[in-house]
Amino acid sequence: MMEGQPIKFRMLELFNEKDWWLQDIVPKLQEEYNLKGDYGRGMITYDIVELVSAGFLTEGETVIDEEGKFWQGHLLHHYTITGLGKEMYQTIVDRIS
Amino acid sequence: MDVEELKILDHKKKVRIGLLMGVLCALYWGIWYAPGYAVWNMDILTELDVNLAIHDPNISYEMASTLECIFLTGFNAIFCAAVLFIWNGGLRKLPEFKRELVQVKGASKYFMMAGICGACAVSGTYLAANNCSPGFAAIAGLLYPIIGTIMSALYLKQKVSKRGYLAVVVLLVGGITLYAGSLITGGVAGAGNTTIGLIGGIMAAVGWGFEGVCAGKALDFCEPDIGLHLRFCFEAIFWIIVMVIIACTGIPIFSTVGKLLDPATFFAFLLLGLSFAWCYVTWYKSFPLLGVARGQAVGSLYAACAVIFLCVFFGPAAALNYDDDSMLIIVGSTILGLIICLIGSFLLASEDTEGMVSLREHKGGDER
Repeated sequence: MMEGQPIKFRMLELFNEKDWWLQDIVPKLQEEYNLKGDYGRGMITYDIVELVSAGFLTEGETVIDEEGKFWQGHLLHHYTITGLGKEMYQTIVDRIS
Repeated sequence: MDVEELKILDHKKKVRIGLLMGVLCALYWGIWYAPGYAVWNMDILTELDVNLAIHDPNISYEMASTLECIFLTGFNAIFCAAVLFIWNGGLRKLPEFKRELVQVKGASKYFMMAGICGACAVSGTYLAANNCSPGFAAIAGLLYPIIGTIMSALYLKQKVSKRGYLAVVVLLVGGITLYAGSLITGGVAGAGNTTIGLIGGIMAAVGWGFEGVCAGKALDFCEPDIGLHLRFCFEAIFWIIVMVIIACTGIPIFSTVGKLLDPATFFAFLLLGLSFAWCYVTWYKSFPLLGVARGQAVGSLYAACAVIFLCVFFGPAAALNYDDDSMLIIVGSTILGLIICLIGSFLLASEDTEGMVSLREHKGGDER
């Protein structure tokens, strides 16, 4: 439903479907929104940080990317949508439908 | 280094970037006053004043200054919107601009509201400065974090710590002290209508306070750079409509617009657009990282930056508007105000931010 919509709408939809690890959701969104390269990766990661800051996502398990699978030396978080995030997603769905 | 240590470092880095954005916002906002002050003495506005007087010899000072404020605020917004097209183009974000623009109910209506609140605030500042004094306008504008803080806690449900509230109060006291010398020696009365000036002051405080809240509401699910760009596009459209309506009544509001082709005038307006657009870019970026209340509080350091930049570019006597009799009071209150502002910023910068991973409280039973 949210494919091709503003990127944070799509992020909330994906998180509403299931929990995601940072290294799994970022490449998916890079592909969908044609934001290739390190710059696109950083931009999407920053958007996720903003969703956490807004209280829509919580960080669960965290590991250090020692093998360089995604971003060597950086933290890889497991994200879960919060009740507030679910409410916001539903509000957006109601508004645009 | 283990995961917990890295998490703490990561979080501190996030808050540090937020504070840096707030300080950069204050610097850009402060430096905006330099071209904003200079442009009043350029042909584009002095000749507009003459043309308005030729069109209607009985035009009042208040009416002429209000029309000039509309002209200046409108072109300020147009230049900001233009600068942001280049900025977002460089960041490869124009496709996201299109996606958010067409989502009126879901996204762009909040930025439309923020744009109208911002238009109200900027024009209110000019009205207060022209009808009362620039010092009064700056103090009135400084009151905006009070509204922003109250609304961010009540409406956006964001967390504001006791230390955060204290810092907002200290920054406000500092900002008012900055201009207290000018008020004591000269009062708020200026060349124009004091009532219009006071209304302008209220417009500035209420406009910016509510703009932060409207923006904060939409920034929860929109890109800050795009939100800001939409906000300036809507403000520019609003002023273009207002100016066209004024022009249709026969008032020569566009009579000096050709002066924009003059390189010096164009450069001054470009500097206005660049500094104001960048100030807003950093302001909006600080909200998701610090919260509306803290972002606005750090941003309110602009008053101190404005004094410093005006002193650097125009000299202290012209910037602070003192003579031999009032020099001691004005310079003394300015230095004291700067010190209080620095204490307020230190209170925010040194706050323990462990509990600020999210700006809101999570509801119970959130986790899956």
